[in-house]
Amino acid sequence: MKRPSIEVSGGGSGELLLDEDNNKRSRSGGVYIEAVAPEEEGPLAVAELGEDLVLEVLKRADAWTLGRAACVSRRWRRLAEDEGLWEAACTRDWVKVPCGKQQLRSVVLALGGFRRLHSLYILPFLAPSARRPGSGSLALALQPPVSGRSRHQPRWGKDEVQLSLSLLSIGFFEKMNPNTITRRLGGGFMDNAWAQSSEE
Amino acid sequence: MAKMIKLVSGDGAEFEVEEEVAFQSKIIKDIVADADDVIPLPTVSSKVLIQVIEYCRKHAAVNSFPLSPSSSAAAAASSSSSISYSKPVSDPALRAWDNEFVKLNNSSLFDIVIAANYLDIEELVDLVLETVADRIKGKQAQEIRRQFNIENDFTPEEEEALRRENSWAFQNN
Repeated sequence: MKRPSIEVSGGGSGELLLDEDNNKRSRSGGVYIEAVAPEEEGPLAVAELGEDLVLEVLKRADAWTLGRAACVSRRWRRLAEDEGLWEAACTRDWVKVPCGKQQLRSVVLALGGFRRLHSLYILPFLAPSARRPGSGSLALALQPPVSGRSRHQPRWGKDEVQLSLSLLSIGFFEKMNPNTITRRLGGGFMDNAWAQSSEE
Repeated sequence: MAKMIKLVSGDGAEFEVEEEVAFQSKIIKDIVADADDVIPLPTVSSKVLIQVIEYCRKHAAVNSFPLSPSSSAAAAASSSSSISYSKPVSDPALRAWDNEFVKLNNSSLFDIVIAANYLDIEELVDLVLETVADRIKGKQAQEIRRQFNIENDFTPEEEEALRRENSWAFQNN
């Protein structure tokens, strides 16, 4: 069925177009008209995807894309920093979630959130190309990446997950005000810890 | 005999489609249940509606019910009618068709996904969103802005701070 394709729009470069008759594909242009017109760029007729749809797109993106998406605009930053997305980005590659999802969520959110977990305690331990300097020895201990996965992100077994979560807890408690700890030892200690996190 | 439904686009063009094709859209299915065979779609242009109908026709043939006159051997062989996000279409021929279908510029894709979202055609929404997500993978922020026609509303200081915070994301793997 021949698709009428007369609309001109410039959505930017790097898009694929199909001419059904010739099976021609052009990567450089943003436009296809019957009589091959020059590429048109600039603020054009790209419909605005609502926030819901943008969020849905980001749900399907990997952590690296989320990081870049946060730099696009204020609205995108707000969407890209959504904890739900980061929870998915973190747990996607876990072989098994160590406890119930809800439980994991409430603990991690209290200790700083999934985005923080990823940036501080997951990222440094990934494959060498994603590694930050200073965490070399730990990276070697992890399993090599499974072939075919985008970004060479390894599947995380129980140990890696426990390690990251433990480090997140330790990091959180290190930041706590030492006065508070000595004042409220015993009962009420955890209550205070959670109050601390909400104050930040 | 196939029952026909009439869809009317925002710019007044009328399209008669088989019921099972139109029923790929849950919204339409519900409306027709109230015994209304002419369905106005004021927010969908005819250009987009044509593409959506094309998709629905292809997928109806695959998901078709036993009563449908257009059911084919292919339909009998593959019944990928369960819907859940991020589940790939199981029939490889259909998947190949889908991949060809989405070889459109972003503007067209966005129009389609907005229409499909409005019409509640889950598989089409999912297909386009996956495609869009693929397109922004590995792209720099500036490129993403261009693709979506977004204005950079950060101050230079904010942008600098963000880039530093997310510098790990900018390393090319």
